[in-house]
Amino acid sequence: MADYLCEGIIINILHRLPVKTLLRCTSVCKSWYSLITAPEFISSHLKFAAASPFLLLRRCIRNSEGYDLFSDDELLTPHAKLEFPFRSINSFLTIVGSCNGVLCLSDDRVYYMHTIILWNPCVKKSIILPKPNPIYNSYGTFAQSLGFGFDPVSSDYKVVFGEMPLPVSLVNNDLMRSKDLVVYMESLALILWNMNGAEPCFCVWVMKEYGVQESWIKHFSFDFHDFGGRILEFMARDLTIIGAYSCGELCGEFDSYRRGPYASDSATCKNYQLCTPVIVILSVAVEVIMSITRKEIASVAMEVTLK
Amino acid sequence: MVTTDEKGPLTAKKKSVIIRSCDGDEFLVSESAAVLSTSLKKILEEKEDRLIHLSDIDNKTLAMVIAYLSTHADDGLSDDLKRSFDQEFVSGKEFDVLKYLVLATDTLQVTCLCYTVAKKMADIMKNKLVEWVRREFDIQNDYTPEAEAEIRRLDAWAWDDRQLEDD
Repeated sequence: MADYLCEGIIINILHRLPVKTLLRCTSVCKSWYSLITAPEFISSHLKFAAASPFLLLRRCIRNSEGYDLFSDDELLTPHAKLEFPFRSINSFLTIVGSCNGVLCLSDDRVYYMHTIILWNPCVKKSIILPKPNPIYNSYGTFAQSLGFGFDPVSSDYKVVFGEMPLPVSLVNNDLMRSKDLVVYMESLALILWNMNGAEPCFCVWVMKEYGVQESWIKHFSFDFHDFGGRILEFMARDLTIIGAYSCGELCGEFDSYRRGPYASDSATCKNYQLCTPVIVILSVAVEVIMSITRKEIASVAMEVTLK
Repeated sequence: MVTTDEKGPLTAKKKSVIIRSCDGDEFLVSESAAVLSTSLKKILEEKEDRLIHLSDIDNKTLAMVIAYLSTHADDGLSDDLKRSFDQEFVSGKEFDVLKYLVLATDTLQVTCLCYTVAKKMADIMKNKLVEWVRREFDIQNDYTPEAEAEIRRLDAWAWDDRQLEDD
């Protein structure tokens, strides 16, 4: 009876291994190395890893940030502490987005440093992108918002700049608010929140027709006071969702594939940023040829321009 | 030897087939269980013969696969029960046994069992040394010591696990 395992069976087994074991397995023999580092294997392994995603939790306390992985279960079981190897000019980095386990970070919270990092924390690999040199077509104050996503056409990760008009009613009167451009329900959405002003609030605008300023519609808004002002930011793949902690039905709406608000220590809760799903992928998956383009990709957010 | 997987006596209406292992043991299996294997299904569709000879699956492995097929063909069992059967089925099995099982599921094309066994094998491999993996998969190390050291150096952190086992 033959006991030779064919490549198909071996792939079947390797698909189900965590990244750390896979990295070790590259040293088993040359053929395993080629198999594991092949782009086809990486993308098929990603599908398995994506089936059991982890939650990436960021804590920003004073001028330091820490990242931890948690199991995506009711208890939010700690899985691993991640080494954060970067230093920023701003007090902490902006999470532009996460996609296939690659996190895009930008040092632009207050000062626009144009330092953009792609980081795969599970394999401890990162790339610092060449600094972009954006040319602005419109004048006046602007808020920069980058987008990050995977372009299936070019099979490549992309960081995108662009210009997007804000809702007419917001132009010139909302500079104090924090803004975020995200993809929400397959449309571009603008999230505005203001935690400290006279009227702490949170609202979501949705751009019904991409690129058309008149098509902005205020989707909903609510008062932070109702929720004790505790905020959680949820980010999912190319989707950033910001919700209020223990906001009941609203979280349900935002959070189509989360089970609801997470119980976490209330003292540190507002510093928490929940980002899902950071999925375990292979080191070599970070070997992407980055291109920074002005091309519009539906799944990524653009630079906001206040006209 | 004829082993039946049926719990009660066979009814006349219930079709069954005899499957013979490479070491000559014969197993009486209901057709509904047999057709869960894509290969057996094809054989049964192509010929009238109710005796199927499998030249590369031994009796122990075949008995396990048939137990699996019969359980999954049992309409009286809920999906939950079948899932816990699957867990129980692979738990505690030696890597070698799983290796023969996964080979058999590949020959017989029983996809869901193949996945269950592959998952179990992966779980066992998680904390094993590379030397263990080579031994169990019967793989010759074709790296030069320098080349292997270089691979380990690149992702040194993946080897820093103190709990890696060799057995």
